[in-house]
Amino acid sequence: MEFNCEKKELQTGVSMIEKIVSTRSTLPIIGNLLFEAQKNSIKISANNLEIGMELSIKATVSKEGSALLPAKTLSGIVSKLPETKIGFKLGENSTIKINYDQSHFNLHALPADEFPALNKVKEGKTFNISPETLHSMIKQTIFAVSGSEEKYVLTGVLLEAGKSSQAGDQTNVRLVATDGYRLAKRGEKIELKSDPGISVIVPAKALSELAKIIDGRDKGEVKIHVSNEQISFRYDDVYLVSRLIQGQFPDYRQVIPKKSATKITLSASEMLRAAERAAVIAAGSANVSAFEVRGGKLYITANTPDVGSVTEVIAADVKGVEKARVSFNIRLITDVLNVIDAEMVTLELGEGLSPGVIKPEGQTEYLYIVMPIRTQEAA
Amino acid sequence: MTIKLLPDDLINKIAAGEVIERPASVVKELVENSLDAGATRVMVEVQEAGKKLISVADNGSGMTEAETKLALQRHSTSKITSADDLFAIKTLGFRGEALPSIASVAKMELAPNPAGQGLTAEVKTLFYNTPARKKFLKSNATEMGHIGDIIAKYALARPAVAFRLTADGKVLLNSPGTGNLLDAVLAVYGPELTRELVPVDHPFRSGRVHGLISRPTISRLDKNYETFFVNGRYVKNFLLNRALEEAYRTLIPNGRYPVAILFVEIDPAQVDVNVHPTKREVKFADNTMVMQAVREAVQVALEVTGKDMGADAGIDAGGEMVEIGSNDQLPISGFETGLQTLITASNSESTELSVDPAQPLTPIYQLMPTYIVATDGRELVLIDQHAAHERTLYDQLSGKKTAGASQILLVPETIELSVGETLALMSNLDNLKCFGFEIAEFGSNSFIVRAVPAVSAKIPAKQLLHDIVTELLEEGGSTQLEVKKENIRKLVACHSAIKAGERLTPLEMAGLIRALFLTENPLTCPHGRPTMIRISQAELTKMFGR
Ligand SMILES: Nc1ncnc2c1ncn2[C@@H]1O[C@H](COP(=O)(O)OP(=O)(O)OP(=O)(O)O)[C@@H](O)[C@H]1O
Ligand SMILES: [Mg+2]
Ligand SMILES: [Zn+2]
Repeated sequence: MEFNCEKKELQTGVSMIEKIVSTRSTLPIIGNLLFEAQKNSIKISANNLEIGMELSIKATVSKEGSALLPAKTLSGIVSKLPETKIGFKLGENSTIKINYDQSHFNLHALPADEFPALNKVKEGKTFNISPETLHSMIKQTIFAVSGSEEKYVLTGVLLEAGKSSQAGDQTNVRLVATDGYRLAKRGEKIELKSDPGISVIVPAKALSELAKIIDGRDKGEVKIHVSNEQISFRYDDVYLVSRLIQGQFPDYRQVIPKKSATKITLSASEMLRAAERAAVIAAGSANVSAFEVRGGKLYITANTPDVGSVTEVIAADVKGVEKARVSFNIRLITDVLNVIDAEMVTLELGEGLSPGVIKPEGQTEYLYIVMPIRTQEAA
Repeated sequence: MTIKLLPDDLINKIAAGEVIERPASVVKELVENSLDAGATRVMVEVQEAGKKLISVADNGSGMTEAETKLALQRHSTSKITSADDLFAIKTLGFRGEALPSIASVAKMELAPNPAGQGLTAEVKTLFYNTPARKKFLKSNATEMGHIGDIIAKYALARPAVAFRLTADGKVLLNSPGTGNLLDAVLAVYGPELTRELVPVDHPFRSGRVHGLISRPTISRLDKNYETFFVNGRYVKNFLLNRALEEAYRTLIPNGRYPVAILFVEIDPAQVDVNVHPTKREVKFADNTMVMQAVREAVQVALEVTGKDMGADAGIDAGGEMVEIGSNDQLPISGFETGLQTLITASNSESTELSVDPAQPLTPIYQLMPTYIVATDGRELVLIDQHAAHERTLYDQLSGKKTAGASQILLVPETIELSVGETLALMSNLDNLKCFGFEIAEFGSNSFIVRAVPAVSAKIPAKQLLHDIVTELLEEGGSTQLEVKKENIRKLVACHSAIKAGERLTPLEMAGLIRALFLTENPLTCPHGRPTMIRISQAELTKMFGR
């Protein structure tokens, strides 16, 4: 194997793929990147046995071939190389010579055939979606997954593609995530040639890697393929494949409140800033903050003995009845306000201890449900 | 009805049903034969996850052409001759059943090495004549996983034997056969894990327990990393697992398991291996003795490392550490890790460190990740993240406002308990409700959870309640199940707190420190253990002999 390529190309490729390389591995071989030189490009692959990735970079290949290079070492070197042409040459006794300007590195490489090949999704259901849409869908849901491995299905995000069985839901692709205390659902109506009928749980890690790849990209489409055990995403030259989480995702349709008693509309950024200030005080009391709707305003209050208290007042457009105090974990509120793009949000509250619902104003695609906290004052 | 003697080939097929379940069973039987023949090199090659070809080549004692014929006959074995021998089995095989069983469900060839040393066994088209069994085979990936598992277990069991596993031309595992268990572990599990292991060596009345176990700083979500060998034979025995886990009880989070490669050497007369057709199960004459031996062996080893990480940390840490091979044997990945440290070290050079005057202590680093290394600019402070968080939650649970605050669940969860657990839960229901649990009975021994304490909202509800009930049962014993309200508060705080080993962001560390300093007694956790250790400048000066 022998080729040369621009440092920039190499760095973009390596830094994108390096993140999925596992350092905590029972199989040291997967700490490597597979380089395959063919025609005018280099294919780089990584595989941590849960997620695999493959991408191509432009290069001038003088001798086709392949080799395994240690990912961490390589990325450490590449980021420090000068902005110039970088040459790679596989020599005898499996050393790779990396040369640039008048200097060079020698790295120990491993034979390529020891690398576990990516298990690609060959058959299954498929659909395409724009990278921008998908990115925003991921961003607005992924934060709500459970951080605890004990509740394994909740460490993933439910992906549904196809008609919704829920009345009034016009979307045909949906992502849903929950940790058991709140739930984020983002739908979208896209063009689908046929109804793919997909309902699978995708590990959050795979979606967060994908989000990095498509961040800021607006051209072309992401091609998604789903089999019984795996899901793959292809965008441009990048291919990402992940295993799916097997199990039963909670039925989110059941928990979406059908009606609300109070509906208020207010500035998203004002509410976020108020909530963040309240969070400073609430941190000392299990993040408990009280919400109250009175006289055309939303009051958010928190207090911690020996620290102090806070009362935030935000102007709001109130529909329905005024609402007596109901408490929420303020962190669950700031979480969602951080990912809503709209200028105005609506907050819907039911009677007594029913869940709160937050939506961007005038949009039906996004929905966030947060469960209240019963405090002794409220009881 | 006529009763007939079954023809031989039918008997073999029936036996095969028990011994040969899948390609991995063939691999296991052939490898065991190689080991029994004294091989020091075993090369396993499979195609299509063993469905097409399994070949095992060894350098053991081998056979003559004539012996290969005899070996295929049922109950022909060179390993035992009388019933008495059955009670003192030292070899892995002894029934003389494996080869005939394999030969009855596949095309098998035994090829003695012409040079006289070693044998190559080749098994092709497994289950060609038993389509039902063939249909039950899983995907190639799954079947390959089982094969990999078997070889990994034997590579660990016999560090002096070099194993190589090749699948469709790719080398999946290659152990060096140096005789050093650490080298074998390195080949199977890689350097990260190997570094976290400490040695065990403990004699007991009828034998010895030795091997490697993980430091409590790491744990796994399943028991697959708990490996036991009894007299060199890989076994599954839940009593051994339990003894091991008991020794780790308070050291690693609930529901997580240690890594262990443990060898129990015991008088062969004290164990029965002939209880299951695949020989994977064993029965001990004296369970209690063996369990106690394992528990003690692990406890002693952990105590040594515990001391190592405690007061003397950083000063004499090298003492009991496991050394991973000698330098010139270090595999490529070891070199890589070394280089990596250099690279990261130079990367971080540019970051300036400064002490935040608005913080009681500025966090610098999360160690192991269990302790927060922090400073106020004068002293070096180590904070135990679990103890610190436990203290802040405990105080919040005492506060008027948050004491009984309940975070309601999106979907109520049902939890099923044993009879004892049910009793323990019922006896403490009122107190649990005081701290925010909303629990109702839901049929016999089953409960529905609608809300958890507001301080616990990061933990899955079921896990939290289960953990607490398990402890209630232990604490109360059988005579008095009800524990004091104060104890419930401690339990809720403990099980809702961040655990050792959980990674924190710098912001989370800073937040935790701030919250800790708001509590009534930031220096100890509710159980009275220290939350932090301070090392003053004077102490540092003394330690460095300046
Ligand atoms: N690789 C080998 N090298 C030398 N001799 C072998 C080898 N494999 C098998 N044999 C001989 O063939 C005999 C039959 O093997 P087989 O596996 O059928 O029975 P076993 O190992 O005695 O008992 P078990 O069926 O319980 O494994 C063995 O006892 C041994 O003498
Ligand atoms: Mg045998
Ligand atoms: Zn504790």
